This record gives sequence, C-alpha cells and structure tokens, in this order.
Amino acid sequence: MGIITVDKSDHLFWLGRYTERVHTTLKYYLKTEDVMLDSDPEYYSVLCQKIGIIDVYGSRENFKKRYPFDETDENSIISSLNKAYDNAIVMRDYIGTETMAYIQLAIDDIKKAEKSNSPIVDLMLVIDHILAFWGCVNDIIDDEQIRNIIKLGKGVERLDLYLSLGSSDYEIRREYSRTKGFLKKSGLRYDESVLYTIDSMLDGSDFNYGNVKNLLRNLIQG
Amino acid sequence: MDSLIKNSETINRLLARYGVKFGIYKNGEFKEQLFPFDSIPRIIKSDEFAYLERGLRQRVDALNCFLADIYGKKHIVKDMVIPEEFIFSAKGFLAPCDGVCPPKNIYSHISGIDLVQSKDDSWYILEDNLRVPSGASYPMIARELQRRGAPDVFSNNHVVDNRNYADLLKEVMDNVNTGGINVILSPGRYNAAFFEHSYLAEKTGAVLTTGKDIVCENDNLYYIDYNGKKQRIGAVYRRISDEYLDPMTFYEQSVIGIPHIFEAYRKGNVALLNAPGNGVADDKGIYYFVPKMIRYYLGEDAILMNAPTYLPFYDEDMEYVLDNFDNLVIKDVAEAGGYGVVFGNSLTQEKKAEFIELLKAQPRRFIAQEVIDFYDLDILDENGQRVPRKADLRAFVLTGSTTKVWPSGLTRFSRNPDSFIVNSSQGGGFKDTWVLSR
Amino acid sequence: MFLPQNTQRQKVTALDVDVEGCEKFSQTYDSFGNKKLYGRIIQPHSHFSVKIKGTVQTGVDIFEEYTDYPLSAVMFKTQTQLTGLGDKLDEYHKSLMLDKLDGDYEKALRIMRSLPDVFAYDKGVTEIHETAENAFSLGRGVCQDYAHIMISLLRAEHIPARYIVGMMTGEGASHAWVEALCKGYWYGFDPTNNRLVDDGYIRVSCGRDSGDCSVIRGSFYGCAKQSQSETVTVEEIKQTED
Repeated sequence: MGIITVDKSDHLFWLGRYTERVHTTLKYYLKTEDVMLDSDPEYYSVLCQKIGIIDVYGSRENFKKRYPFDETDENSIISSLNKAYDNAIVMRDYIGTETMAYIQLAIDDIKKAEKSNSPIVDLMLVIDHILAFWGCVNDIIDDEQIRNIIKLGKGVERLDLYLSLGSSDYEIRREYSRTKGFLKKSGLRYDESVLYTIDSMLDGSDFNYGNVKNLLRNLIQG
Repeated sequence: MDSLIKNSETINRLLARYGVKFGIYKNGEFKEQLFPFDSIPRIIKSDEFAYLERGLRQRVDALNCFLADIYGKKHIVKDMVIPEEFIFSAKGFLAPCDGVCPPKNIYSHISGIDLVQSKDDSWYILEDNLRVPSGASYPMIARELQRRGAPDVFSNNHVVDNRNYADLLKEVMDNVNTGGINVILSPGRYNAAFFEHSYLAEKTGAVLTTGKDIVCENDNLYYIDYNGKKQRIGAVYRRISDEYLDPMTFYEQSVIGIPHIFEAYRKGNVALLNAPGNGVADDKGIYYFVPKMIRYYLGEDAILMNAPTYLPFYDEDMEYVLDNFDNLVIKDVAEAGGYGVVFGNSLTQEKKAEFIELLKAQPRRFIAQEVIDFYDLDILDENGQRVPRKADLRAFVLTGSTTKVWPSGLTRFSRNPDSFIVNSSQGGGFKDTWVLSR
Repeated sequence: MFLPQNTQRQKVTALDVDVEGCEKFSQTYDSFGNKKLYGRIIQPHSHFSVKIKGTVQTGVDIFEEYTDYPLSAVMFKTQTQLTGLGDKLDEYHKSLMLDKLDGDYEKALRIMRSLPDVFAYDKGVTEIHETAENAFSLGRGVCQDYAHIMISLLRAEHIPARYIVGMMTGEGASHAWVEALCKGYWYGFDPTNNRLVDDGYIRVSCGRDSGDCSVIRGSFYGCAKQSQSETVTVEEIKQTED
C-alpha cells in the first residue's frame, strides 16, 4: 500500500487503542464482578477510581447494567467498542473485510450479552473476537507499518491502563519494551527525549506510575 | 437449490458479519441498515445473456459516442436528431465540460443499466445510470458467501463466477490512468454506499480517500502521506456527484470536493471515472432518444428495446398521454431513486387535474411510459414461503479498452407486493444474479 | 479569477499579475474561452490579494465574429436558472411586441431602449444570485440584474445572448453587460447605461449568466469570518502613433 496519510495513521492508532481498551477493561470488569459476588459489593467504585472515570452508577445493579452495555455512557465498554468500529470502518481497504468482521461480531455479541441470562459467559465471546481481531492484524495485514501503528496504539493504551490499574513492575516493563519496538517501526514522529526519560526511570528499581503515565501522553507528536 | 434456500438465514447473518450495509437518513439521523438478501437467485441462461451482452455493449458504446459529441462538435444537435432544448436545458449538461476531452475519450467507464423483463420474456431498458451507479459489491460478496454456504449448488450448476468484478474495475481504471495511483473518492462513511466504496477499494487495491489528503498542484493531483511525501494520482474513481466534485468549478459550497481537480482533468493529467457531465446522457428525457443515437452513431438498430415512451414535448405525444393518462406512468426527468414517479391510475380526479395542468405548463419536465407487465420473481417471505414480487436487474457495463458486461448484476426486488419500486432506499432487497455458462 | 484577453474588439498590450503570498499558480481557458488564473496558498494567512495592472487597446472592432467551436451558440439560446422567464417577465415580453420587428439587432435594441421605463438602478435591493424574474418584479436592481433581464428577453426571442463581465472607464467596480448574436456577430449592449458597447469597455469574461463569470471565486479551510472587496480603476491613455 505504501502511503498512509495523517488521517489514516490516526484511525489505525485509535483502532489499536480502543480495541485494547475494550479488551483490558472487559477483563477487569469480569474480575470486579467476581469480587462483588461475596467479598465487596461496592468494589465497582474502586474500578471507576482506578481507571479515572466518574462513578455515576450509584449501585452495583446499575453499574452492571450500564458500564458494559450503555451506549449513552461514553465511558462504557460498548462505547469504546463503537469507537473502535468508527475507526475500523473507514480503514477497510487497509485492514481487510475479514479483519473488520471481528469488530462487527464483538458489537453483535455485546448486544446479545446485554439481554442474556448469563451475560458474563457471553461477554467472554467479546474477548474472543478481540483476540481474533488481533490475530487477523498479525496474519492478514501485509504492510508492516500498518500493523505497527495498530499495535503501537494497543501498546500505549495497555500501558496507560496497566499503570492506572497498578499492574506489576514486571508487566509494565514488558509492555513498555514491546511498545517501544512498535513505536520505532511505526514511522510516526515521537519525542526522543521523552523516550529517554522513561527509559531511565524504568531502569531504576522503583518508579512512580503517575509520572510514567504523564510522560507517555507526551510521547507521540502531532 | 434447496440447500441455498435453507441457508437463507445463514447468509443474511454472514452479510451482517461482513458489514454489508447501506446508510440511510431517517428523521435527520444516520442509520446503517442491512440490505435484505433473498437466496433464490435470478437465473439468466447462457444464450439470453449473450443477447443482453450484445445489446448492452451497443447501448453503452452509443452513449459514450453521444457524450463525446455533445461536449465536442454537437453533430447530433446540428443534424436535428435530438432537439437542442433536451440537451442544453438538461440539469446534467455541464457547461464547464464543454470542449474537455477525457483520457482515451471515454466518458462512461462504469455504467449501470437498469432492465426489466416482462411477462412475455422480453427485456426492456428502464433507465441508464452513467454518473455513479452503485450496487455491484452486494452480489459480489453474496456470491462469495453463497459458495461457502451451499457449495454443492455451485458444483451442480454451471454458474459463471462473478467475483471478477474487482479485476474488471481495476482494468478500467488502469486503462485511463495517466501515470500514478488509483484512488476511490468517497464522500465518507456517512454516505449510503460507503460499504461499497471501501469494499471496492480493498478488492481493487485502490486507495480509499475522502479527498482531505489530496491536493492539486501544477495541474497534477497528489496524495499526501503523514510525512508530507507526495504520490501522483492517475485515476480517480469518484463516488461523489458532479456538483460536489470541485468547489472552484461546480457547487462553490462543497466541502467534500477537491479544489482545482477539474483543472487537472481538463489538462488531461488525471482520469475521472465517470467523467463529469454524464448526467446529460442518462437524463430521463434523453432516454427516449437512445435508440435514435444507436442508429445515428453506430448505424445499427437497437438490440434492446426501451419501454414504450412518450415525450409530452411533442404535440402528438402529449395528445396520446392525455388520452391514455390512466394507463401510463409519468416520470419527472429531474428526479431519481424511485422518486417523482406517478402512476396515472393512482391519482384522485382532483390530483389528476392538477397534475395535467403541470404537465401542460412544463411538458419538457416529464416523460410518460406504458406500464410494463413485469415478470415477477419468487422471493421467500417472512414465513419462508415463496411469493412473487416485482424485480429489476441492474447490469454493470464496464468500458476499458473494450466494453464488457459483468456476467452477473444486481437484482433488486420490492418487498411490498403492490409496489413497483425496488430501490434499496425505499426498502427493497436484493438477489444474486446467475449467468449460466451453458 | 479571470483575466482580460485579446478579442476582436480589444488588444491586451500589457498585463502584470501580482498574487500576494502565492508563488505557484496556473492558467487555463474555461469552456467559454475565458482566461482563468488559479492557485492555492498552503500557509495560514489572514488576508490575500490579487493586483492586476495592464493596458488594453479598445475599439479595435465594434463586434465579434461568431466562431462555432468550442463555444456553441445553442447553449446561449437556452435559459438558465437565473434567466428563466416567470409570469411578470413573460407578460412584459409579450407587451414589447418584438415580433413586429425584423432583425435580431433591432429587437435587442428595443429591449435595451425600453428597459429604463420599467426598471431603475438601485443598489441593495437585489441579492447576489437574484433571478431575472425576481429582480424584474422588484423593479430595481444593479447592472447584473439589468443584464439578466435583457438576456432573458433575448432568449425568449430565440436570440443567443451571453453575459459579460468587464470594466468601464470611470467606474469603481466591475461592470456587467450583454452580448447578443445577430447575423453571425456578437454585439454588445449595456442595458444599465442604455448604451451600445464601444471603446469605453474592457471585457474580462463571458458566460450564460453571472454564475459562469464571477470575477473571482475561492474557498478556504478554517473557521473565520470573511469579507471581500474589489477596486477597479480605468484611465484613458491617448494612443501614440508609431
């Protein structure tokens, strides 16, 4: 293909970010559900606090209804999925109809899960589709640059969420090192000095998650 | 065939999976709708298709001659085969195109010719679409899915593969390409046919663009990447209409067009598919003259018939129309997509009188046609029962180094038993169209 | 934007174009034979101007011979959206009883001579893309409206007529008038001044109506209010003998 315009690289990057957002927040949501079962029925407010969204839910029941399924709630999982769709639909010629189909399937299944008697089991299908989507990205998309921009988006979002959710140092370092690889191969412009600063922070034994998060936001330019 | 019918639901589900949708605006809101697919194919026998192919190639070749003449020396007007009023007052006649010769002198590269079959098996041309005919992608993908869903049907029947549409289209773009990449210019994802734009881009390897990344410089068109690097564009398969194409030449308020693209085209530095200004040839008023055009330019008799048509513009036709008003269908030449169509017998006395006044005041605005007794095709209704419905066929005729007819087409049907209108924008569905190889 | 060029009536003897802030621009001829200058400015800018200075020798001929191609006279016989007759103009057209006259030139002359009886010059009454019918119903308007009305009436007589944009000596803005094709020659009529077009006129562009030949058009990306102004100065230079 060879030519990626500003608009198109933007769509690819955000396609990566939103699919990852759906993936990780959904996994974390399933974990939250589990905690709420017996140990802490109010645990959803912890989730809201960690990923930095306003707790508008008020009750566990309302949270269960709205956080995964409410299209009018811009922080909901389905809203992230819709945004992934918005970015995918304009990129059919770059990512392929076969790849796009998994976003469509994820949307269809999350809507089914809302009406299901066992929504959690159905939501697992959504995770399956996202994983299949990434499989297609690796398998079907020939152009290395296109793959790398999508994966860069995915990596940046994952790092951001892992930092927010307080994942282990090991996981942060692993994701950072992957993301750095995608960044260098993406051909996108980035700030060398920011990269250097993050590098040296992560080299130390102890680093501040919040600082890394802020630096990450300034990494990619334009 | 039974396995196809059994698969109906599966195929529709797969079509949903692949996002085979069209956009529609309802109450000002954009919605994506699935295009309902009926799994009973329309079958065209090999010799019947050969006849259609001859007729369609002849028709499109004559229409291309007509366009070259109208925007060139205008012999057909000077020889008084077509009255000048029908050309120069047509909305589709674009003065800026006068004297402009497109690459290889091809105006209509992708023509969508709508036909119907009557009860006595004869085919009639219903209308020509030479601007931005859409719909080829739907049967393309439906066939792909049908072959997966019911492979035995395709090994037992000799159906010509229709999945070569993208190759045909690419050939047509390459033929007129002036040296550069092929792009498909779409108004964006909120256009009704966006699925088709993106699907054809994927399948032809052309770049899908909304024009934001295109500039015109030194009378050439360039596609610009995120580092500011430029790549020349040789052919634009544009899916936006003439008036929005270039705000500097046509509709000044257009925000989806590309400023000065028309100048690059005028100087022969880029091919536009289809050429701007084609609307003068697919005007409903001009339709009447197509058989005359075929005789005039090619010296042949038209192979495919028009539906019997009257022009109230001519006094004797007006008289006929007034005498037979109830048996005719009257069409406003400026409307498309099934709008502006009036069946004489459907009007109340009062409305009829009103309409006749209008007809007398603006005879040039209307054509009248005999109502063709359609040959109905079976579809499966909600309960899985076969029921007959009105259907038409859009044949795709592609003009590259030669003119070819795609061995398939878009068969659209009306879901409403009383309706003649098959347009997807008015709730119709589609079928696959099989051309048998023997 | 359009530039004046050589015609049978006028010779452009010097032309200096200065487009501020835009080095790359191109020239072309549109379907009406008008000479067009166009380009774009990539850098953000708050204003932009074009200065054109030149000398034109006028009065070379009093008409222009009709050349068939690529221009086609039939195109100029067809009413456009702006020139189409409505009820008021239709009635007026009938009242002129032009069928009593012999030649097309005489008809054109009567149309021009009669217009001041029913139409008066007034700025600020009509809109930019006013139709001939609307302007006529209002009874007042500017040169564009005069021209559209005259074209409308000429075409109603099946006389090919075209809209001309140009300049006049002593005016502060561009002007518009009409040319009618009579016996194979385009003759100029200025209905606004009820005067035959002579060596006081410099032609810039022509078309079917004002929409085809607005002196300048353009578009920009961004969110801004815009305003546009134009100044025209035409001074007479005495012809020097060789």
